[in-house]
Amino acid sequence: MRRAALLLCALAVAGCDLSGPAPVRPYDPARPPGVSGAMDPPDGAVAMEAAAPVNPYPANPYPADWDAAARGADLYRVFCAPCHGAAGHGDGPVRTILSVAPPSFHDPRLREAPDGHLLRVIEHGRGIMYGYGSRVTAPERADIVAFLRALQAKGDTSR
Amino acid sequence: MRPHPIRDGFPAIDTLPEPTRRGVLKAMGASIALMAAGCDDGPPAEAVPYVRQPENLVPGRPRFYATATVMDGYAQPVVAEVHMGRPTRLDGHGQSAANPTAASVFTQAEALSLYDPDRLPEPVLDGEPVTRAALDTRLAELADTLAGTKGAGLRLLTGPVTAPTTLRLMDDLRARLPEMRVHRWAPLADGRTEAAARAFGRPLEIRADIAAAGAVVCVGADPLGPGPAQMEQAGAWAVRRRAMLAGERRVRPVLVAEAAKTLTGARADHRLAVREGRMPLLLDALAELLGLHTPDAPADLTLIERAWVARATEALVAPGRPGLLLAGERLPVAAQARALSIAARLGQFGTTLRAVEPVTPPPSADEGLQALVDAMAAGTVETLVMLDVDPVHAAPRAWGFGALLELVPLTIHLGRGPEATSLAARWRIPTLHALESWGDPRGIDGTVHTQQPTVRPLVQGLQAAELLAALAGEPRPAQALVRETWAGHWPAERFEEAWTAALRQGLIPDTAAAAVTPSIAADLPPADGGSAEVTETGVVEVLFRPDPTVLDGRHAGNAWLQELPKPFTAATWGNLVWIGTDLAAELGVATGEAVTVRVGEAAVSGPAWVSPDQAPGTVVLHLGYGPPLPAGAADAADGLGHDAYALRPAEAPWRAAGTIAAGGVADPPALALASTAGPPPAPLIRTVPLVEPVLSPEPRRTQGPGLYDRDGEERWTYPVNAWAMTIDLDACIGCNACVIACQAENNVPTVGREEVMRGRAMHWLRVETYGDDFLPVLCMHCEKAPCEVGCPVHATVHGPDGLNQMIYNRCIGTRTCAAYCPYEVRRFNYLDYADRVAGEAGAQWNPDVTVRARGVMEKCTFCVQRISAARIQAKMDGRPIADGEIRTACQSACPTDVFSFGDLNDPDSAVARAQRLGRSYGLLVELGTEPRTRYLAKVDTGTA
Repeated sequence: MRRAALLLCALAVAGCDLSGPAPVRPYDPARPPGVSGAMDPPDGAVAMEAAAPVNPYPANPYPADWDAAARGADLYRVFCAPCHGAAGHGDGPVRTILSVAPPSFHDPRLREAPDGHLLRVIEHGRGIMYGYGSRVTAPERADIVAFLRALQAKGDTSR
Repeated sequence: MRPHPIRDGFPAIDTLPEPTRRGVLKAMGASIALMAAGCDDGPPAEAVPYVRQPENLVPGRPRFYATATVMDGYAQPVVAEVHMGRPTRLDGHGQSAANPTAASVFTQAEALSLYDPDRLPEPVLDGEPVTRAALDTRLAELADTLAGTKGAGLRLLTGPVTAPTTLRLMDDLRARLPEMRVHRWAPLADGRTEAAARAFGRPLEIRADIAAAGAVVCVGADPLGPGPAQMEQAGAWAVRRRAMLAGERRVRPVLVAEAAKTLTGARADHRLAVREGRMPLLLDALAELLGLHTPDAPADLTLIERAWVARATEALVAPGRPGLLLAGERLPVAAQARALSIAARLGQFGTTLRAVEPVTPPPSADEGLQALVDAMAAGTVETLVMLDVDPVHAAPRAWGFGALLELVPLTIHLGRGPEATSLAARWRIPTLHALESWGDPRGIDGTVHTQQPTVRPLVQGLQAAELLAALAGEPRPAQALVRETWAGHWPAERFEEAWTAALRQGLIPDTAAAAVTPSIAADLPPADGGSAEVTETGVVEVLFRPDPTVLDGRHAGNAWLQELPKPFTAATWGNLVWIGTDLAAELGVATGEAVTVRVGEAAVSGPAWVSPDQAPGTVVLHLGYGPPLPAGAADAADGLGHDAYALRPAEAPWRAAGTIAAGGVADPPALALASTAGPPPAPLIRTVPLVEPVLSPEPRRTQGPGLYDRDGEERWTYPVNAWAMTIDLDACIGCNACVIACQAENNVPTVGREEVMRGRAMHWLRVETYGDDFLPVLCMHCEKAPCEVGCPVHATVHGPDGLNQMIYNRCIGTRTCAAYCPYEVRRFNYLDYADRVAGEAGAQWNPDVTVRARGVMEKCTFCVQRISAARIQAKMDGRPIADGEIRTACQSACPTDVFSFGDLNDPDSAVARAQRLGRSYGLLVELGTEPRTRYLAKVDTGTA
């Protein structure tokens, strides 16, 4: 009886010919033209929403003073230091399990980056870093940036 | 094989017709074969995500491209909505002053034509499909040969062209191959520029500004009807009408003299049904009354005609804003020239009429199709290149173009593929669709609109400009060709920036055609040959018109346009023979019965449509149907409609003398609405006088059975939003743009001719016609909706913001809701119509809207996907939804701004203000449904 039930099950499956694994076919970009899934936009065409020039970095509306840097230091320790390291060298304790090293804040690229860049990355994330926009409010983000600037002014202490 | 739980074992599917002539039905029929495949069917086999995601593309968010489609050579600027590289719908881009996003049915339907499964997929040379590379090699060989002979024996046949790039390449080719000859021809060509040449001594493009006009007098003209300027003119008409209703300007009438009903005629204050042969007489009488012309003998007019002319004269010379006199572009050239001359003397140029340099150069005598036919008959044509024209179908049959084509050694046709001419050509090359093309067509005012692709080409084809460049021996891609044309327009260092800005904007600024002040000759141009009237007994005036939806046949493969109920007749999937009540009585035929029309030796039969508003003794035939079939195919009678081209004489393409008799072989018409000629069965359309535009209070239902507790006043409450719509009947011109917009936005499937005849058309929005009145009908989203009570499974429920919602997954298909709905707006999907959309045509579907399965009821949702999108965006921005932020599809397509949509909770919203107007009323309110879609009554301006 049980065997018969098994047989029935097998038949039901065979009806759909699911006997073997689905054939895996590598993506072949040279497929003939036609509609298939996501298509690349045509070369040279310009969409209307591109009308605005590339959005410049927003200005930092908050004043950067020592109070702000002090508040930012607390926030930095909570949200940033685990990856970016206490002194901003990209050597936090989580570093060992990350596939990509977080950049050092003493890197010339980040020393020269405008506040808007740092604010945007904290809010939206970058690379493998998640956005913190939902956990860190806009004034708090400015505080963190104030602290980062203080950190950068202090100079690279790793060497 | 396991049967499919829904699709298999449903015998009615077998009763559907096989795909017929030219595969028009194939758009829905092709995937029937797939249904037998059991487990293999279902969603498309390949849905490949991006491996490299394009920059700035967020999956799930459409992108918008400003580009242009082309109609009769003129650009129709559009904004294409593109999902993951697939264009799904087209909005207008500044075509109408009343609503910048308005687009005509023809423009919108191009979104479906792009995915037409009947498009030729690759070039076919001598019956052999070849690749683009092989075609390029063959074209290079041909270019070498042609260069050797300086183009001797080479002929080029094109339709109307306005694009500077194509014209430049034609000139370039002419310079390289001096022996080549170019012929320009279009089946719908009219005498407008020629008439201007006769009136003012030089060819000019004449443009009307209805918005600025006082009185409007149309003699055979239909400014609101189909054409490249339809949206602009309809918008201007709405601006003029609204200004009059608002009391900002004096009320002046619209007078129309026409042989058969047109959209303009339906909205006229004084309409005169008159044979087209008598229109030159009307113009003469008008000139006489205006003191511009002294006839040798008094014009032989009837009393009614005299009264109309007297009114027209009075209106044209009335003080205040200048009037506008328009003559039909299909009238004899002499009559049009006289009308222009009269208009010029009335001072209309510079105020309501504008003359500009012609946007397309007029063909000179040796450039017409006649010259080509003569040369083909003489055997001097070696190579004939045809660019997107279909002369085998549409050229006068007496010329025998199809037979002459066989005398030409090499015939090359660039086209969509299924045209008769393409089938007869030796080299068949697929043309790229407007949405796959680069180009620079000029709009109706001469402005260059940039055309950029919104999708990678779906076929291995060429654009006309690319073919011309290849024939010249220097093949280049179209993008390079267009950029070459405009390279000198800006300084080299600013070119990239300016070009990118032009593409974003969709036009090249300051390229409109220069305005011209026409010189007025001393005398009116002579009226030669204009007044040839058909007076013999038994002889009728046969008038040829482009079909209202498929035009000259170019849209015959478009299922949306085939299934779109044609204005007045509501006919779909075929054309009708329009006759007046006089001929109907004489022949003893009623609407739908077969009649046979003869012109000379040729005869066609078709179903009659009896119009009470048609001029006596006239028969109207619509072009665009029934092309000749290639050898071996079935008899023409099993195609759709009848072939009016067979009767069209070469010398007078728009009017002929013929006879009509009852009888003949004709398929019954597929009418989407039962009766359209008479008044509505209930007071559905209400009218108010201009002086006091207030309706009497609405009747309140007090007796009879009801589904709701009438007196208990158990009301819904709407704490956040209460969506509602108002439809201004005074602005509706019956152009159907809303119907196609709804179809494109909401994935409304087409059902085919047989299913329309069974009353199963799926349109969520329809435009009912009663005589001269148009009534757009969609779901009323009732406060006390009978459907909500009727559904046994709560598949249709009242939403928190007032929408009457349809939950497809709950629906078990009892159709009770449809039976309870007094507005007949619920549509039942009997046969899985959506699944029958073949292959790639499904790529047009809007990914934001569910595709409904068989056995499910569906109806207007007030474009709930747009409401949700706006709500989500507003929530992210932390603000309430602004008034006017949500625009339904019908609203965005309407050229006269009939629809307003918004939140009734906001007393200042456009819809709330409109619903407080005295002329606001609900449809069938006496039934107690309390519809939240309300109408604004038509206004009687008192000039009738």
